Amino acid sequence: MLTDEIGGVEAAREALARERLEELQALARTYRNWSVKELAHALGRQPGRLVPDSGMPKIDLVVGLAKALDWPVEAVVDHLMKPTTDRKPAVQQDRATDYAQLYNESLQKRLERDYAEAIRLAVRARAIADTPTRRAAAFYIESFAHEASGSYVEAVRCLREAVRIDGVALNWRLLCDAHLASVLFMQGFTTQSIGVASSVIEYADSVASEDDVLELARGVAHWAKGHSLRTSIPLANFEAWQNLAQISRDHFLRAEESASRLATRPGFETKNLTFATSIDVIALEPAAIFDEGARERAVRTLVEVIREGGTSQPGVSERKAWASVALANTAKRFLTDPMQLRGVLELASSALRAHAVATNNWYFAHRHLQLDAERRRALVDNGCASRALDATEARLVAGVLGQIPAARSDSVSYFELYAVQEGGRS
Amino acid sequence: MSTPEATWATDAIGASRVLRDGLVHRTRELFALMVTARGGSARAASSEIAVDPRSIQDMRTVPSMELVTRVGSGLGLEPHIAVGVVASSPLERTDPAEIRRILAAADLADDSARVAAAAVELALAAAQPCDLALAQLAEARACVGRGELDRAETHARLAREIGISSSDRVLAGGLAEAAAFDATLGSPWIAGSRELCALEWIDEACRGAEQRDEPVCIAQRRAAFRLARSLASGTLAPRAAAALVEDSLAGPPAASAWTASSIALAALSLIARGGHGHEHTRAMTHLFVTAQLALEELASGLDGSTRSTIESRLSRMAFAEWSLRARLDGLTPECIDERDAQEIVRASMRLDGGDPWRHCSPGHLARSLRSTLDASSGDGSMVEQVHFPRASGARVESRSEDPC
Repeated sequence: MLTDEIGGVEAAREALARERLEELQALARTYRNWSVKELAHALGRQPGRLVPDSGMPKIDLVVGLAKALDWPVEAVVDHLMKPTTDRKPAVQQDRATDYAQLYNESLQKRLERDYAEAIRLAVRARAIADTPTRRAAAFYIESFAHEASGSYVEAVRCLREAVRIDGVALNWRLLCDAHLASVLFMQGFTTQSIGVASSVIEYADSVASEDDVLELARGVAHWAKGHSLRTSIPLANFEAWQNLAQISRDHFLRAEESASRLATRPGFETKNLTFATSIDVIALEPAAIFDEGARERAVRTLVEVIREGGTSQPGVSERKAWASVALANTAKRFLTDPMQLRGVLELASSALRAHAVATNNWYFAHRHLQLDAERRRALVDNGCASRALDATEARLVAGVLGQIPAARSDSVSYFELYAVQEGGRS
Repeated sequence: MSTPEATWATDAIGASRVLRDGLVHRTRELFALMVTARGGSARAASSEIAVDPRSIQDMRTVPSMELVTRVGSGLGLEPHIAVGVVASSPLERTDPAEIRRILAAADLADDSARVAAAAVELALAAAQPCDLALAQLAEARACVGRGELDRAETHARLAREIGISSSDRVLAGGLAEAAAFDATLGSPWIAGSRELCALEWIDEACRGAEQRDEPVCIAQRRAAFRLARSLASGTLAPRAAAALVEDSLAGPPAASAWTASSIALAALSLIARGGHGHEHTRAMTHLFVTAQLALEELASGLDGSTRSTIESRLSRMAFAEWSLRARLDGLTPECIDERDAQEIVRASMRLDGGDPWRHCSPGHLARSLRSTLDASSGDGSMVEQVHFPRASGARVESRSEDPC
C-alpha cells in the first residue's frame, strides 16, 4: 500500500533525524565534559526530553546545541538534515578521458547561465578526475558556477575543499586560493580575505615561471585584496586611512596589469576576466580618499559610466554596478549638497538593483538594500509613506540574508523596513 | 548540580525569553518575506510550502526547525541557511573597545575559536587602521592554533604593515607572544614548527615599550613561556622544572595553568624532536605527566573562566600527547579507552578553529562519534576516524599543470 510505504519512509526519516540529534548531543557532552543533566539544563529541556519523537528539534534547541558545540548554527542544521551517505553511489558511466570535455562543457554552460547544468557537469568531472590538480580544477569550476548562481556559501565550500587536496599543482592551488579570497570578500569576511590574498600574491611573485593560470591567480588576489582594504575604510573620519586607501588603489592597478597581460591570450576574453572591465572605475574610490584633486573627477566619471547606454556586453553591467558602489561611497564621503547626494545615491541604487536582479549577485544586492534602507528611513523620518516591497526585492532580501552572513546582523532592520510594511499577512 | 558553564548556557540560550521572542519574530518576518516574494497571498504561499498559515500567525512558542526550513524553501533558501537567518541576532558589539576586551579574554583563555570570531568582529567594526591591524594579529594567533604557520606569518606581517597602535601594546604583545610560543613550543604536533619573524618582531616591539600598565596575568604568562623556553634550551633541568610546576600550584590558578602547561608542552616538544637519550625522554615524560595530573586536580576544584582556561590548556596538552603517540608508536584501538577517546575528541574540537566540517563530513562524524564513544570495543575503526588538525596546509606541487 502506498500509505504504508509513505509511513515507512517517514518513520525512517524520523529515526535518522533522532539518531543525528543524539549524536550531536553526545558530541556536545563530550566537548563540554557535561552530564546528560547538565546538557539538558544548558539546552533548557528536561533530561528525558532532549530528543523529540519526530527528531526535528525546535530552533532554540538547535541554537543551544550550536553554542554548546561552538559551531555555527548552519553546521548543526547541515548535520541534522543531510541525507544519509550510506546510499549506493550512482552508476558511473564517465571515464577519465572524458574529463576535459566535461570540464569545458561546464564552463560553457556557466557562460550560457545554465548554472545547474554547469554544476552537474563539474561534479561529474570531479568524480572521474584522476589527479589532484584535476580534482581541484573541477571544484574550482563548480565553485564558479555556484557563485554565478548566487550561492556563495556553496562556492566557498568548494574552494575550501579544493585547497585541502594534497598534491595540487601550484598554479591551480593559488587560483583556488585567490578565488576563495574574492568570495570571502563578497561575504564580508575581509580579515581572512586579506590574509589569503596576500599569501597568493607573495607566492605568485616568488615563482620564477609564469603561466596564464598563475597570472590569473595573481590578478584575482590583487582584486580581492584591493576590495577588502577598500571596504575596511569607513565613510566618516577616514583621514587616518589615506595610506591604506593608496595601498588599496595600488592593488587594483596591479590587478589591472595582470588582466592586461591576460587579455592578449586566447580564451581569456570573456571567460574569466569580467572583473577586468571594472578595475578602473572601482579604483577611483580609494584614489578619491588620498587625492583631494581626484574627488570631483571621480564623482563625475562614475556618474557618466552608470549613465552609459547598453548593458548586454559581458562585463558592462558589472562595470556599472562597481561604478555604483564606488559612486555611493565617494558621494557619501565628499558631497555636501543634500539634494545632489540624494540624486547620486538614487542613481547608484537603481544601477545596483538592476545588476543584482539580473545576475543574482548578492554583494551588489546588499549594497542596493543598504542604500534603499537609508532612503526609506529618510522618507519615514520626513513623514512620507515608504513604498512597499515588491516580489523581486523580497527575493533580493532573502538572497542577501542567506548568502552574506555579515548582512544577517542587519536582518531585524531589514525585516522592519520591508516585511512589515508589505503586510502579506492575510 | 550544574556547572557555572551550564548556567551560563542556560542564561544565554535555553531560558532566554529575548532569544525565544526573537526566533518567533524573525520566523514570522521570514514568512512575510516569503509571501511577498511569492505574489502576496499568504494562503497561496502557505499552501505551496505545505504550512498552515495559522501556525505562523498564532505562533506562541519557538518554531520547529522543520517549519523554518519550509518557510525558507519558499524563498529558495537551503535548510541550514534558512535556520541561520532566523537564528541570527542583531550585532551587539560594534564598539572596537568592547571587542578588544573580548579578544583579550579569549587570548588569556587560549580559546582560538573566540579569538578568530573577535578578529572578524573587529575588522567589521574598524574605525581606525589600528583596529584592522589588531584584527590581523588576532587572525594570526588563530591561524597558529590551527597549524597554519605560513598564513599566520602573512597576517602578522599585515598587522605590522598596517600599524599597531601604541595603545594596543599590551593586547598586541600578548597575542604575538602567545602565537610565537605556539609556533615554536606550544603546538608540538605542528611539523616544522619555527619562529615566525613578524610575530617575533611585534612581540619584541611591544615588549620594548614601557610595561607599567601590563596586567599581572600577562606578566605571569610571559614568565611561564620563559621557563618553558629555558627547559627547551637546556638551561633549566627537568627536575627543577618539575619543582617549578609544583610551586606554581600555590599561586593563582590561571597562572598555574599557563606555567604547568607551557613547561609540559615544551617537554613534549623535546620528545617530539628526538635525538635525546632514554633517560632524558623519561624525565620529560615524567614532567609532562606531573603537570597534567596537577592541572586535572586543580581544574576539579574550580569553576568559571579559570576552569575553562585550565581545560583549554589540558586539551592542548592532550592533543599534543596523542599526536605524538600516534606519530611515534602508532595508535591501535586497544591502547585507547573510552576516556582517552573522549579526551581526543574534545581536544580535536577545541583546537580545530571552529570549522567542524574541516575534518568531518556528516557520515564521517557519525562513524567517528560512534567509534569514539565506543572505542573500547576495539573494532579497529576508531583510529582511522580520529582526526588531528593538519600539521600544516595541504601539500602543494611546485610546478604548474594544465588539468585538461
